[in-house]
Amino acid sequence: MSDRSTAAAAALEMVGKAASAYGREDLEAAIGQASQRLAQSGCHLVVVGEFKQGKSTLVNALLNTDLCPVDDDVATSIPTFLSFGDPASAHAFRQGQEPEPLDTEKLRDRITETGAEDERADAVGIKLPRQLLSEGLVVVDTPGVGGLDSAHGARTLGALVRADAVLFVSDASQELTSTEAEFLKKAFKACPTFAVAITKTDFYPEWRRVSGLTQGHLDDLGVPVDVFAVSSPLRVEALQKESQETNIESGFVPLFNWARQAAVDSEESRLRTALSGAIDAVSQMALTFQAEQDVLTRPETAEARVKALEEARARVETVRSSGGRWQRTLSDGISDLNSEVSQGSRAALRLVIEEGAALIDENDPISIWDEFESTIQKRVRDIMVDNTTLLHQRTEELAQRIQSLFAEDEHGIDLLGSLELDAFDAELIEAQGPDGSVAGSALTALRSSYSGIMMFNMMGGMIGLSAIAPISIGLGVILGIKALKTEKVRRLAAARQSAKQSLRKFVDEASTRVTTENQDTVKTVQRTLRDTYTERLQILQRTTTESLAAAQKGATTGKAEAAARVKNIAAELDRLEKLGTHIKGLIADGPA
Amino acid sequence: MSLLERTAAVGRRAQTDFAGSPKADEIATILARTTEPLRVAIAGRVKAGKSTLLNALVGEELAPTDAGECTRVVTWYQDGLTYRVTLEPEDGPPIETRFSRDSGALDIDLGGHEPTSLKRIVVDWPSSALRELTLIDTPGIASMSADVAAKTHAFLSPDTEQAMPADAVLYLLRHLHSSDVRFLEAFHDDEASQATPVNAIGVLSRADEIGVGRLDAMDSARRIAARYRVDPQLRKLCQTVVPVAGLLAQAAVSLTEAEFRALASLTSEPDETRQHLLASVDRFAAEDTALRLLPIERQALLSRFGLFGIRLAVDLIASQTVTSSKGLSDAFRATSGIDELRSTLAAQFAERRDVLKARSALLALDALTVGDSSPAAASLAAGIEEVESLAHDFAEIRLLNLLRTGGVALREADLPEAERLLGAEGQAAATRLGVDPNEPDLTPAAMEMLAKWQRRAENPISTKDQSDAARVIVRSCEGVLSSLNV
Repeated sequence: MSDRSTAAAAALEMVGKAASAYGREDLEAAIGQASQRLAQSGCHLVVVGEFKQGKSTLVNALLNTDLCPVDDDVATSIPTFLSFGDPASAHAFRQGQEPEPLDTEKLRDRITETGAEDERADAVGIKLPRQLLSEGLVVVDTPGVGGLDSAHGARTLGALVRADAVLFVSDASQELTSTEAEFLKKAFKACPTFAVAITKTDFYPEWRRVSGLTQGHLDDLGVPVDVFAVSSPLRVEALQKESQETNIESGFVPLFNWARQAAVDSEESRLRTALSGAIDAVSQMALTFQAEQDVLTRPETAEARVKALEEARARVETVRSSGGRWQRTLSDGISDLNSEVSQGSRAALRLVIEEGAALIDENDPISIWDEFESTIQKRVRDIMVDNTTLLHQRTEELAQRIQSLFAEDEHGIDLLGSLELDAFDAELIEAQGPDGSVAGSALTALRSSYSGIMMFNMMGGMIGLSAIAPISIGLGVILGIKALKTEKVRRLAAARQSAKQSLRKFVDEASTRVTTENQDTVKTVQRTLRDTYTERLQILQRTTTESLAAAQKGATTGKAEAAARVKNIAAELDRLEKLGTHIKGLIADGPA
Repeated sequence: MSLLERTAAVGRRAQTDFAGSPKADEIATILARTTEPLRVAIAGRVKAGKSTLLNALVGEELAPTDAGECTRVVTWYQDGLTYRVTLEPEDGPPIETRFSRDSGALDIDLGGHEPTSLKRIVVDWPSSALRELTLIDTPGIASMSADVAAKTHAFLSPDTEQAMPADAVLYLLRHLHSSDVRFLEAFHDDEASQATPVNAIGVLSRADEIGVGRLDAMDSARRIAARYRVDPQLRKLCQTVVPVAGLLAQAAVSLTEAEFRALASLTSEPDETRQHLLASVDRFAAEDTALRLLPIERQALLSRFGLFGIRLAVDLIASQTVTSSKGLSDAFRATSGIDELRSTLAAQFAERRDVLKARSALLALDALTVGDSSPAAASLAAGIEEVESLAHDFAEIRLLNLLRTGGVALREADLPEAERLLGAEGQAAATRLGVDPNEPDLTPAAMEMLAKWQRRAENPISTKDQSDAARVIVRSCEGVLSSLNV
């Protein structure tokens, strides 16, 4: 963890303790969740590319390690997650099982395609004591097996919506191929923090030209990203000789800085969200004291104060009890989202059946089967990936929309307007930013809730969306026919029917998966958003209720007692203000 | 009468039957083709090293090679009486054009034609290598320019109505990509031959790059090629897979004395300097050290030999393994794997040349009968069928294909032997029998095989397919025996 995140974690802890001391366990719980999220989430930098482009070599060189196995022939077959840990360690992950500690010597078999089938894990996690990883960066080395347009490739693409940054690797032997370009375009759409690395510049004399051609293709594709030309062997030499000059020569300096910046930016945005939440909690606590103090020091306004607070409470109640626009938008938005995304995918899948059936009718399914099968599989995979990407995009859009509606509703509650803030720094409360603290935290909550859905979780996405079974159900029948070749016409009709059945069965299965994924996601999104805002409204309700109680209590406090009480409250407010100022300082310390 | 002669006879008869129809001209073209050298197309993805390999096979630098995509038109290199380049536009008559040859490779003047408007370019070049084989350079598959890729597809997998312009294909792979597999599948034509792994050879090209130029790169490449050879998916698609370092092979045929001296001069530098320099192309090409070779000389070496070639040369000269340009050229050739490719070509294509040519001709003739109900067409179809049914060579090819594609299931242990007997590794009797060619008397081995496969053919528990297959192999054994008695 960086100093900043250590300081932020400490500040959150202090706010949590204050909430506990003032009996606001609701705020304490909210802060607890925020710190947990901060501690758990990281910046996933996913390294993708066609196989044998030097992805693992690049990851090794970047992180000064040799733990990602590299071989001329065999390729990485499962994703490897490299994150911070001291001392270095490794674990194998299998779905539904506890992580199993691994001997680093045995990593090779686990990660490459040579490992025995049952030896192989779904993913490998490696922890390394590296400064670059210390700010929460998680480098993900993805499988190159099978190529970009294979099931593996589709799976990687599907998982990219959860990535914080993507590094696309292509070696300097040639300019981008059409397969690479197609993948790259989609990957960029899924995750716009994106860069391209051209590797093996030590070996290909023409790397500058290839790099220029690639840059040109990227411009044509409308993918305006940085291109880094690098040599992993030179980086290794630089690390061995501790030579800064060679390090510069290797081209790794800008790549390293880009990765670092991605990690810093991602951590910064997570920190800001958590710290804004903390300031908000401090304000909520301060408001109650403020309300009481206001009434105590200016008894003539007591009636108006109480009235204003009662109105605020009534407004909270209105927003809570389904009157809020955000709730209507949420329920409408969810059903729109579901139908838009699902209908699109279903229509696309239906088209696959129609066109596939037409192809079967026009041809002898036996002779075209192999090609037909791979084409259909690829199209269905593409549809599934597009579904995931669109779902993700629409979900985030909906969350944004609801967020701003809620922010307006919350603003209308106007807790601050009812008070004259003399003892407490009003600016502090506004330091949360234009959207208010909840705005940020809803998206954060949403994103961390995805981990419940296999599809969206980074590791889960890589391993969970297993390729659906190939359409070979009817193939046995068809092959049987191949050998006979008599009674051609009748056989052909039978083969066609059997081929169509296989096709339909395959597409139906895909369709079911898409529907399940959409429903699960939508359900999770709905629940998360509803819970987040409900929780938030409970906090607001509690604050208004307690402030009202405090104001009422202030109005009935005797004069003698009041002086002592005012002094106490001033001390509490001072403490909270110091805490708030400290957190505000933490936010301001961050990069602009 | 040989198979090719029988095929020609069928063609000539049809020519008379179709006299006066445009089909007669087509038949004349098909017949002419049976007397020409075997046509071998070189295909593969973008930048697979097709032109470099072509140059290595011709033995001189003809096809332009370049780090961007450079072959944009299907280009035929054929033996000729004079040096001549002809452009064939999609619409319009062939045009002879100018060309120059400054830096080795041909620089062809397209005379204002867009590459996409040209059907092909024909280069006539007097050369002993081209007398044996006509080589066809094709634009890359999976090219970023879709119409360039489409050209190759159109050329190598024409509609079923058309005959394949090439008799055999060298398919260049770098590593196996799914687009390679798709292409190889598309390349296989339909009827008459079914899928035909027999007329395709996979070449693991730019093999030196697999180990990113390490000295043991070719060992890695051989290991990978060996794995691909037994890969069930690839076995269905091509005969075998051979690794070749094209650049090295091309350099081997044209290494000059001056280049040898330049490479040798590098060995007199201290180890550390050499190591530093050979770690990266930029260092080697540009570094302004006190080397004897000027940067411009080093750049020239780099583009000729690649970093792998230079590393290898320096290693061989420093260890005194080679001491002359001839020695280095031999070492390059041996390391490059081009010799293995040549002998594979000889075994797979050259020995089978007449069979492959006859097959192409029959396919082309057969295409003429499609949708034609005239008596001439019926008679042609009957003639084709007769030749096909009589030709044991076709039966062998067909069975080899079936074995490769899993159409017939023989015992796993019998497979290598069956393929060998069918001529998968070469036509010579000893090769088919799998015995030492120096063995004085091959008859006992041939008798043993004959008896074994006769038993297989008559085995009551064999399926019909297996018995049929065994009978084809029995005929192959008989063929071997009769060749021994001559």
